[in-house]
Amino acid sequence: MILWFALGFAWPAIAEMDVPPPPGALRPTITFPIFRMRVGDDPRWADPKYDDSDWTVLNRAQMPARKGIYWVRLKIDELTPVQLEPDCELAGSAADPRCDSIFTSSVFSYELYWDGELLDRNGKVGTDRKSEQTGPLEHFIRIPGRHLGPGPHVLALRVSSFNYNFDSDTFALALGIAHGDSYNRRLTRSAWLPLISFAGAVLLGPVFFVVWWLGDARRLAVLGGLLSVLVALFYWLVAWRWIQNLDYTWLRWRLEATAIVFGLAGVALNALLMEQFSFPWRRRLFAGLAVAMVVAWNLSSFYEFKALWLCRATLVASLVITGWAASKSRRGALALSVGLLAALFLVRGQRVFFLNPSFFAVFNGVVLFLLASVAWEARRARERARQATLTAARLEIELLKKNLQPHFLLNTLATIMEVIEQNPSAATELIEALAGEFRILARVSGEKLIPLASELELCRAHIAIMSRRAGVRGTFSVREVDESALVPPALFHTLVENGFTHLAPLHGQLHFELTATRDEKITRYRFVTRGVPRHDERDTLARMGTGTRYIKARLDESFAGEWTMTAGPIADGWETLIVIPTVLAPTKPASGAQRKTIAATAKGALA
Amino acid sequence: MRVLIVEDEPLLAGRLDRFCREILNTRLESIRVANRFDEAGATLAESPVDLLLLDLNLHGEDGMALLESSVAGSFHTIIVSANTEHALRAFEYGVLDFVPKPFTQARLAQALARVTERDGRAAAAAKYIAVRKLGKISLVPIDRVIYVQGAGAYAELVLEDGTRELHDKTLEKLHALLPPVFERVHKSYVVRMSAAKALHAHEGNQHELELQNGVRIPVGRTRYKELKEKLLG
Repeated sequence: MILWFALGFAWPAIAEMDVPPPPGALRPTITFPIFRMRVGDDPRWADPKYDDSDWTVLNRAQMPARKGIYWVRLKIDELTPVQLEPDCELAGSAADPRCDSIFTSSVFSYELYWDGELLDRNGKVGTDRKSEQTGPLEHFIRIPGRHLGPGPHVLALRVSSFNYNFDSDTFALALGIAHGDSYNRRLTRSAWLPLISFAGAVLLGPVFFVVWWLGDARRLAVLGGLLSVLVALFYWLVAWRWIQNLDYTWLRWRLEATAIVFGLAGVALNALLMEQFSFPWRRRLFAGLAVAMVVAWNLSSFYEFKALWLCRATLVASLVITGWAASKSRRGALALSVGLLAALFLVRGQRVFFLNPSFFAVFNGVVLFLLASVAWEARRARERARQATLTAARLEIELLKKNLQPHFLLNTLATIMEVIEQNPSAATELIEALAGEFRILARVSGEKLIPLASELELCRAHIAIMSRRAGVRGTFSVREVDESALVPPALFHTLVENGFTHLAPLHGQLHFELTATRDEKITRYRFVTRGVPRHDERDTLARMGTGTRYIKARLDESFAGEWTMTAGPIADGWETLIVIPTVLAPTKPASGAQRKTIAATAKGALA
Repeated sequence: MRVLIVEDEPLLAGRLDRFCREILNTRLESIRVANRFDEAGATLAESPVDLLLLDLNLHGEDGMALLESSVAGSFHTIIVSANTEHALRAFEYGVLDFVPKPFTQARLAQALARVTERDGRAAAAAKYIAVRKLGKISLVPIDRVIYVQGAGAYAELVLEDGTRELHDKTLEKLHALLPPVFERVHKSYVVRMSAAKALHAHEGNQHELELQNGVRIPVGRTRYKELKEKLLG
């Protein structure tokens, strides 16, 4: 698919290459050929020798429509600039190819006479809608050998246009004389660009489907898929001209469909960009875009130029989105803005192709870039999910390790050893507190959030153990908290730990306090340790680092971006303030047995 | 023996105190407890000790810094700690023993024996000798030490390149931490035997050990006999 796009890039460069004029060729100056017209119908008007000097001179872009039969005549000699690229010579020469064919795209029915001989018909010329028959849009006529030569030649057309279905009252005569083979080769080559782009856009569809199916970035995938379908449809409608030579009445509908599809693709592109960059003012932008598109549609009666203005409207809207995203330093926004700006400068209306190839080159680039961004985004989403799982596992391990770590566990066992020898009943209580702490830890370490009630149990058990070990009186008071609120495991337990490590008792006592203020959205917890800090503030903050790192990781895990934690000294100790979103457990009334167990466990805690 | 216990948990400090008294009995001259290392430092400056019982994890302090400072002192260090991760490193730096928590009296007795017994040695030989120079601790790799010369309350480490480092420990205490390749050849000399070249006997019962770098170390009479047996036998 990259190859298709690359070709799409390269082709416009090739297609727009100028064929250098052959050296010494007679280059006609730019004047317009003189078409003469006469309303009416007479077969003698095909005769090249007929004198048409009194006929009306006609602007070939303003041939009357739906007005009855009339004839048009054109005298062609070396100086008549009806040749289109590649240059050819009526007379033909060694250096130059010979003009030997006529080509026309006609939205009307005709009979074409060259030097008096009927060479081609388009449908059947008629006196009214019913009697007229339509024919194919494109015609390619080889001029018979006997009529070739330097000229002058007379081309006559018998025209009727009752089935002309555009809104205008006039139409343009698109006719040219060329070297047949060169022209056909060139024509084939031009079909490639839209076809390649069509293939590329079509292949994008399945890619977006796969992205959707993998489950990542689903909205983006759907919008991307939609854009691909619309762009593919647009290119198909443009390419159709070369694929199938439809009846000329279809032209209007094909052009209209092409322009409409293009407009829709523009809307889809903007929707995709909005989704990609999480643009905040979607409704307003869509409203603006809708208005711009309605205005664009009415700026020209030519569908190609309608498409041009639709394109400009789309690009301006897209630039608003990517410009805003670039101001927020979103990845890729700046590159996209540059690309879209380039496209805006490059886009030109072009008959037949709708828009110029250079524009398509840049546009393809933009879409490719977008696709890369979507894929990149999908990959990052997967990476984040994986990280989250890893983090959760790591935190669980960290929590368990924290409390199974040698310092806590073995020091406690050493204490138990001592207490057993000195005070057996106290030893039993100590062991019970230790068991209680481990029991709770085993239960909660795998959870992201636990009820505050469990957290407080954990704190009480820990305070009991540490008090005995440190030889202080540890007390815990809890006020105005909702014990069914959810908090990360070991949130306050860690602060208790820190308290015992970094604060010395005040008059033999270390007092812990938890209070909360809560509203629907957030809860503010205030955890105070009353004691004497062993070090100065900066030192204490640094030393508390490891423990608070665990807390921060847990807070990030459950409340990324929605929490704050601050800590510092107060008059008689140390204060930690934690603000988190209020999360309540779904309440399930405890069974009788559960309540008894809870009460028994709570009673087990000392102090 | 004068002992200082550095332990922040009062119950465990009490346990160590009780055990020391019971194990050392009359040999115990004084025993004190400090629960912070800087407090301990002040106490040591006032009145030196022979043995330090140290917990590496005091109120979240960095154990390694404490360790380095401790082994540079004039006293023996025995670590009493819950965190055995540091045991290997502690021995490399020159502690006499590492008693893991929880500990029994018997285990502590085993450690204290290394101090009280004649020819008591560290549980594992040191790899570095911590030397205090200008307030900083530098670790001298034992591989570079040729011999150690006693100088009263200090010992002088002589390195292969000829530099000399002064250590606060007595020759006896330092000898207890060195690997077996170091022999006490004289009251004032401990020599790395792999650096020895020849043993000379002179008249008047003077004996000398010639080192590979040419230096001659005096050898004590009794030690000469042992040495000769070891080298030849």
